[in-house]
Amino acid sequence: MIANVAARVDRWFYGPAPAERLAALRILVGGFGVGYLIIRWPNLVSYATFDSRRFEPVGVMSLLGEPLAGDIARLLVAGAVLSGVAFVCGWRYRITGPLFAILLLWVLTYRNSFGQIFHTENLLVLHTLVLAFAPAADAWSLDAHGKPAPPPDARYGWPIQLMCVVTVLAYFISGETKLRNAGLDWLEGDNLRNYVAYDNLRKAELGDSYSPLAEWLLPHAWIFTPLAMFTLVVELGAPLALVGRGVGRAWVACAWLFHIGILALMAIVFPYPLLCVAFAAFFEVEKVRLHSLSAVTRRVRGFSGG
Amino acid sequence: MNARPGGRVWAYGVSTALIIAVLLPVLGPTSSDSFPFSTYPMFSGRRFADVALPHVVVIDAAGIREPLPPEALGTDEVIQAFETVRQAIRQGNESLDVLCGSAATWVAEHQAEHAVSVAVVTDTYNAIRYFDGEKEPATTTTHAECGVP
Repeated sequence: MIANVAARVDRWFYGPAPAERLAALRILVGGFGVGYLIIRWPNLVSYATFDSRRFEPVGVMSLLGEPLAGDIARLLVAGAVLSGVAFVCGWRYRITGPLFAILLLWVLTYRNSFGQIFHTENLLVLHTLVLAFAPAADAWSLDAHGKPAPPPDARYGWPIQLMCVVTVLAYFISGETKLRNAGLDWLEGDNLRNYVAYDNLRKAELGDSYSPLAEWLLPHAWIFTPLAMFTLVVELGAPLALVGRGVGRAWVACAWLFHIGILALMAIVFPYPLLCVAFAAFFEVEKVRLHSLSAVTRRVRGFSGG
Repeated sequence: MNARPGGRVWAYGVSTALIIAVLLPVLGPTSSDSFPFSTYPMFSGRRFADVALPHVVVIDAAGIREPLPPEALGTDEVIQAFETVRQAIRQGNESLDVLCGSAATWVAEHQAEHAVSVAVVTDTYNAIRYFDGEKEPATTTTHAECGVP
């Protein structure tokens, strides 16, 4: 019985996948990471000027007794961008893969070590760590340039499954924390309604823009009960996404809608899931490229023929 | 079985370690947060409509208050600005004076026209009624106030 379960888990977790799928995830996740670092550059380097009294280290930053010198903090952000480009290109990946993952972890943990932890970046770092310690540059990379494409193999499959597991665990833990902190009261719409009102009030009174949709919906208390239920179903139901491809994709659609809801009601942007990069491991992402290319080719042919 | 990157031992070793690390925060208190391993406690507790909100305001000659944008507190992130104010209040007078002074300098450089002073305050509101037009705070506690240079 136990042996049967173990064999089934092994077949699911350590099943073969094409090298191109893992490579596509490397390009997507790495590309997002590099873009994020570049777009958030002013914010990331601003922490180099923060008063040292504001330093409240978390995670790997607990190794530091005090904040880094400003120039070193800026250099590490630059190093993360450069190693990220090498990561995306798959250049000397055995070194640049882990280097990018460690620098990304370092730079984002540093930003999270000044009193506020941004939960928008956890999955990006975890996915990058998985990819960095997997053979994600055996295809579609400078390292693999001129070499024949390797056949599908389990060594390309397990990192993808691990990315899916880490994704659903993050959502599940978020739901579990709500139940532990507020119990079933969280399902009553009042709690969510108060959170939406509080978050928008905080934005308004700290001189930022807030959600006009929230202002419109807040008088209608009943709306927040189904929204609270939907939130907990998406979060606590996340592990079901591992059961099968169809269920997984249905869950991804719900999780994406959940983030759209957060954006619309609280003006909080979770770019990693909103752009679907967080959920890419649930799909045959290497085929997206082929489908798009063949569609473009067909259109070009049709255009030149007609 | 082998332990090279991509091999079965490597796959299960790395995966087990990461899954344990992701799950470990669940065993601790829900209030403890870290990065990248977290319990994701934001928006998880019981929240009531009556809230206390620490923030920084600029005051003009007529005594009218306006909230300062996050940039006045050295960041473009509103939540980071909020934590900056909370941190300063928690740390006491020295940090409050530094925060108030730097915000006043920002005001002098960016919107000094009618500004007289800057204050670090905690206001209480009913968050639901706020969006029904009740924008004035029920109570105000001033932690620090400084003139605009």
